[in-house]
Amino acid sequence: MSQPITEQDCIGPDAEYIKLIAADGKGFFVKRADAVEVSKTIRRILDGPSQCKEGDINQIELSNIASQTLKIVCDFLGYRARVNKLKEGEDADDFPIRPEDAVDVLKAANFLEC
Amino acid sequence: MSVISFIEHYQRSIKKNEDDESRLLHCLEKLSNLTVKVSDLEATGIGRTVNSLRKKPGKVGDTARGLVTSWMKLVENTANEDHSGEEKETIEHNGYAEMTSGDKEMSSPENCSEKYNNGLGETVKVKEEKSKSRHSHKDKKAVKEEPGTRHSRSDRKGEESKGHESRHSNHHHKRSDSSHKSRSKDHKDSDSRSKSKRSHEETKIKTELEESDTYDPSDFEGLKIKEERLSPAEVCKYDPEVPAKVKKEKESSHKDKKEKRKAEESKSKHKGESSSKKPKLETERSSSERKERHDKHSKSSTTKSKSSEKIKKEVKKEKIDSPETNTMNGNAGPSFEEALGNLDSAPPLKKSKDKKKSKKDKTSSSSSSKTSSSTKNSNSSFLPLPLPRTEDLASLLDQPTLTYKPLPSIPQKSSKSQLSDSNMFSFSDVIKNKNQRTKVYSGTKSALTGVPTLLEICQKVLLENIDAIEHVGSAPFEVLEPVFSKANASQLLRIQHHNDHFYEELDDLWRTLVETEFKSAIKQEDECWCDVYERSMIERNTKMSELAAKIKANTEARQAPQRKTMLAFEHSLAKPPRTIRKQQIKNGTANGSLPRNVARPTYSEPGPSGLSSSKESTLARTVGLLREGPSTAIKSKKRPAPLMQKTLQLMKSSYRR
Repeated sequence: MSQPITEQDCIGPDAEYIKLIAADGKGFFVKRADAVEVSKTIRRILDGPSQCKEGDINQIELSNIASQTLKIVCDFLGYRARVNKLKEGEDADDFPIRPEDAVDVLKAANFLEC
Repeated sequence: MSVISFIEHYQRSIKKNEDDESRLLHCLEKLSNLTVKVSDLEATGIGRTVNSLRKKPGKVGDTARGLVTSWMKLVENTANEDHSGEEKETIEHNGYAEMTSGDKEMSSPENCSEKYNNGLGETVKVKEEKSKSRHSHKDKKAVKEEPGTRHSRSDRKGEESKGHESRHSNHHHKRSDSSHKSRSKDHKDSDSRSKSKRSHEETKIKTELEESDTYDPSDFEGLKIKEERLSPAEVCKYDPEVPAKVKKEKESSHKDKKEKRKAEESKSKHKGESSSKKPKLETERSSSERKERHDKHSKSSTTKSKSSEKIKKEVKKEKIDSPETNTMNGNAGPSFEEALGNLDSAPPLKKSKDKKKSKKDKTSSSSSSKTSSSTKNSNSSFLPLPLPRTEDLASLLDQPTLTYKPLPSIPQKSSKSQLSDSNMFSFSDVIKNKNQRTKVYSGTKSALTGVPTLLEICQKVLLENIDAIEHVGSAPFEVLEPVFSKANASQLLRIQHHNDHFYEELDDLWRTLVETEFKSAIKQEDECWCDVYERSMIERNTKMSELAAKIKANTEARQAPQRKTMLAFEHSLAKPPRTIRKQQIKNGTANGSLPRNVARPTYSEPGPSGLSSSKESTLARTVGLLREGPSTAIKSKKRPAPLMQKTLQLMKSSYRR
C-alpha cells in the first residue's frame, strides 16, 4: 500500500486530500476531488468565504456526525466518485448500508447533501 | 443671391409670426411678388414653410396655397425646359419599338386594365409609357444611380414624358408627369430641402410608379422606382440592398419607365394644367384604384403576386406620403405635390375622369393611408427600403409600426419527450413494447434510475425496515417522510409512540390513512386524526362482529334437526306382540289393566301439562279400554277371511249333498 495519508497532504489550497473530523474527533482523509464532486455542502464550505492560506490544512469539522457514520459517508464519497467515472453500459454495484446505521447515515447525508 | 436672402428673411418672419395673420399675409404677398427660381426655393426651403401655412384658415391659407401652386408650376416648367427635343424623338422611336416588346408584358395587364373603368385607362397608359420609357432607356440607365445620372434620367424622363404626352394627351398623365417632373426637378436640386422632399417624392413617385406598375409584368419596376428615388446619399446604401431577384435589365427598364413617367408628369405640368395636386391625386387615386382593382381582380393578371407586391409598395409609399403630408413641418419636408395633393380636398379637375378618380382616391386614400402605415413596414419585409433620412425618420417614427411577424412556433416536442422520459412507464412505452419482447426486470422501479444518492439509499433501507424504526433522533421530517408515508397504521402507531416530536406531521399521515381506509369517517372536534382512525377502526370491528353473529344465527337455524328421544305409545295403548295378544284374547285380558296403585283419573279431567300428565292420561285411556275389555273380547270372534268363508260354505253345501 502506498504511504499513509497524513495531514501534510492537506496543506494548501491545492491539496489532494481533505480531512473530515467527526464529532468524537476522529479524522478521515478523503480525496478533495471526490468530496467536492459528491457533496455539495463540502463544496460550498471549501469554496466559501473561508480563506485558504498556504499553511492551512484543509479540514472540515463535522461535529454533528459520529465517526462510525462518517466512515460510511467517506466510503460513499469514494464509491460515488468511482461510479460517476464509469462509462455507459457498465453496471454500478450497490452500496450496502446496514439498517442500524440507516438513520444516522440519513441524517449525515441530508446535511452533506450527497 | 439677394433673392435668397429675401426669401430667407420672409421665411424667418413667417416662422416667427405664425399667429399673426396680417404679418403672414404680408410675407406671402412679398414672396409671391419675388421672382424666384427653383434653385432658390430649394435652397431656402421656403416651400415647406409656405406649405405649412396652407392649413391656416382664411386668406392666409388661400394665399399660401396659391403661392405653392405657382411655385410648383415654376418647378415643372424648369424641369420641362431642361429636356431636349432629341431625346423626345428617341423616346418616341424607342417607345414604339418597345411597344412590341413590351406588348407581351403589357398585354395581360392591359387586358386587365381594360376590364376596369375608364379611370384606369389613364393609369394603364401611364404604365405603358413608363414601360416604354424604361425599355428605351435600358442601356442608357445603369443600375446604380448617381446624382448626375439621376438628374439626367429625370431630364430624360421629362423629355420622354413630353414625347409620350405628344402621343397620349392625357391630363392624368400630365398631372402625374408634372408631379413626377416636379419631383425630378427636386431631384436635380441638391439641397437639404430638396433632398428631404426628394426622399418623400421618391417614395411618392415610387407609389405612383408602383401604382402604374401594378399592371406591369414585373415587380421590379417598383424596385427600380425605389432606386431612382434614392437620393445620392442613399444610393450607396440602397444599392447593396437591392434584392437579388431583381434583374439588372429589368431594373434598368423599370428605371426607364419611371423616368418616363416622371417625364410625362413633368411635361404635363409644364403644359400648365391644373394644380400639381392633380397628378398626385391622380397617382394616388390611381394607385388606390389600382389597388382596389387588384384586390378585386387578382386572378386576372399574370402578375398577381407581383401586383400584390406592387400594391404593397404602393401602400407603403402612400403611407410615406400620408405622414409626410400630415406632418407638414419644415423637418418633415414633404414635397409640394404630395402635400398639396393629399390636403387639397377639391382640386380643380378638368376632366370628369379626374373627378371620378378624385372621389375614389379621396375615399381610398384615407383608407390607404390607414393601411399604408400598416403595410409600410410589411413592405419592408418584402423589399429593402432605402434607409430614410433623418428628416424622414422623424416623421416615420411617429407612426406606429404595425409589423407583425408571427413568432417562430415553439416546438412542443421537447416537453413531450421530457415527459415521456421522466415517466418510465409512460403510455407510449407501453404501446411501443406491445409487439416487442418486453424485458422483465426484477426489483423495484428505482433500480433502473441513475446512481442513487446516499440519501436515497438510506431511505430505501429504512423503507425495507419500517417495523424496526424506533427513535429517529434529530433527523428532519422531510427526509423521513417518504419512509413514513409508506407505513401502515400499526407501524405508524409505533413510530408515533417512539417519536412524539413528529406528532403534527404524523397526524397528517394519519389523515391520509383515514381517508384511504375510512372514506366516510368524519373528524370530530378535539380529535386528532389518529383518534379518528382508532374510532373508525373500532366501529368497523363492531359492525363486523354484529354481522357475523347474525349470520351465524341464521345458519344455525337452517341446520338439519338433531337426534331426539321421544316417548312411544304416549297417547295410545301399548300394543303387545302377537303371541301374547292371542293369549290375552284367550284368557280375556286383551285390553290390559292398569296397576292398582295408579290412580284412576276420569276422562273429564285432563292432566296438567308435563310428562306426568301425559302418563296419567295414557293410564286413563288404558283404564277405559280395560273396562270395555271383556265385551270386546267376547265379541271379537275369530272370523275367517271372507274368501275362506265362501269356500267353507261351499264345502258345507257340497258335503250336505
